[in-house]
Amino acid sequence: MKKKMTWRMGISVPGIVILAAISLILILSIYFNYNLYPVPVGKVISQNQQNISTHDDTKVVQKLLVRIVNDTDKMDKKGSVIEVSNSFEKEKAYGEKYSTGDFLFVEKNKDGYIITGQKRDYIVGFLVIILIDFLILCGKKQGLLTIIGVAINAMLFATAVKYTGSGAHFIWVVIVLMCIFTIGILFLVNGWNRETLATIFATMLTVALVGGICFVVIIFTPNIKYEFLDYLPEPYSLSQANGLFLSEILIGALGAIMDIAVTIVAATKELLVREPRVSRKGLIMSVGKISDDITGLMINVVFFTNIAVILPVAVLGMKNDFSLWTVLENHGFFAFVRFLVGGIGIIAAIPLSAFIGEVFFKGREK
Amino acid sequence: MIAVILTVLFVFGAITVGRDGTAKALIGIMGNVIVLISIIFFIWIGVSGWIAVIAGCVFMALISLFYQNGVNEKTKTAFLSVGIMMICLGVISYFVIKVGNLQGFPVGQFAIRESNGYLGNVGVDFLILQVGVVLIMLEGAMVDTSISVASSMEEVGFHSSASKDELFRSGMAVGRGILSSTINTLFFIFLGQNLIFFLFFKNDYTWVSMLNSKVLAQELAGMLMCAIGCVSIIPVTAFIGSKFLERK
Repeated sequence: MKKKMTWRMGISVPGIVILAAISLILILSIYFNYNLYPVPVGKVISQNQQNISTHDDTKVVQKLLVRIVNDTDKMDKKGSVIEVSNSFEKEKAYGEKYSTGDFLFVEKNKDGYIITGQKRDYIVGFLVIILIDFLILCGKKQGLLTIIGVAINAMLFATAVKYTGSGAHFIWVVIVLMCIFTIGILFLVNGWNRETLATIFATMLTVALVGGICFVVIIFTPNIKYEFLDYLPEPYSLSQANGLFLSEILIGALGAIMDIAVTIVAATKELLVREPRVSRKGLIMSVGKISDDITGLMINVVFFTNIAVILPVAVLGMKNDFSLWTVLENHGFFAFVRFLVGGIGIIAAIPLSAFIGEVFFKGREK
Repeated sequence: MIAVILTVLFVFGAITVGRDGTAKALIGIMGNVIVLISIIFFIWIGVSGWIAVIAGCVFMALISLFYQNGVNEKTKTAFLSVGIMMICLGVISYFVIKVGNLQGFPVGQFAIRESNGYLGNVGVDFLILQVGVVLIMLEGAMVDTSISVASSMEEVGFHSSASKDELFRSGMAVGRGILSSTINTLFFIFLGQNLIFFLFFKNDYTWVSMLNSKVLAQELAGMLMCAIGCVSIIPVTAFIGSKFLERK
């Protein structure tokens, strides 16, 4: 059964074995990479818990025995065992519970040792490698191109963030980045032709329109409560915060807009090649029919991926006697706006892509 | 105020541009908002987190599949595929979140702290809530891909007497075609959600601390699980569809 399945997916058994072996080696090397860390890393070798909960407080204290696994000048020698304590509440809203085998970052201060964090790189690494494996196995060539595209974009983004400030001009950096992302991805996926060019124009036009709408709405309405936008670099001016928020929502919508633009431009081209004398109204009607199936699904994707994060904070807030409305107004606002802008982008991309498609392909018979 | 204006724009635009399908999607979104608020409400009144989250996910899948796309072979195939993958990936997410301590609120979230009145002792396990977040994200992302694969397979099965094997292959081909745009959509949503964090980290974190930070790991784990879901749902839907959608 298994063998038949792999054959049907067009990948040989040795190929899978090699892929699995490489993945395993990579995961293990991230798991055991603590020697590369310049800060002391310790492995939990035993733990015992003591419940010190009182009537209205559930607190647990952990005594952890930690073996230092790397050599640094800031800590005892490799192999030495130290004792640290950790406390968390049973619900683990803020605290963390450590188990035997976890790697922790530890620091020495004058009172003893403290935990500064948990080593999580191997967890993220594990998921990244699993994703890459699936992309190669299921997507083959397209999967590989997708990996390359995302990797290049991520590196571009990291470089841009590293070498630019977070001031008011950051929005321009983001606009340039979005142009590069759009051109790069569409070129990589569709190759260089007239259709790709039309799709690039359609995407950029949509982003520009949505950006313009958001800009006007943000400028001409009462100020946003930015104190609830996490990680905003302090101190910030209002225009700086507005610029960052605008950058954030536009980049978040870019993928969905591009997705719709690809489909609609291709459909418009197809229609115009088949029926060159179709009226604009007829064209928009036909395109509307095609887009109807995908817009609903895309709106769902944008909705769920943006809105899901509200769950923990809403429960925490309501349990602390804040009203649901207050919690949603403060913490749900940014997630909700991200979803709305994504949705508006999807909707706006349909007529704009049809229009650009018409401009590019009208009257060009085969 | 901003939210109201944007909502009006979104709904107005959707009704002008879209048709039945888009209108159904809007009603579906409202249904899903109600389900999400119900999950929060039931956990608040003390219903077990697992029950609330799992029941909520089932309702959300029912709305997005059967309400928005009708009850037919195609949506049944998608429902079964999404259900199976939700269970598998739900279990994996549970362990990933547990091992990595990815639940709760990282220290950097200044607005949500005990000093602001958000006391942690609320009697709800935040591990379950974080699994719930990942499951809800997964649900949205996987339904999209699964329906696209299933509907094109139905089309192929309808117009030709394709064998199970050919059906499976056509499903995989369609899945491969939409793979890139789905992954890119998720990638940009992730970048958008964390853009400000990346700028923040540039000033306050080092590479080492960012790579291991709870903030990044939490967000990244959710998005990566989504992406894994979107890819792995393709062969699962193609396989189940090849059993169900073959012309009898």
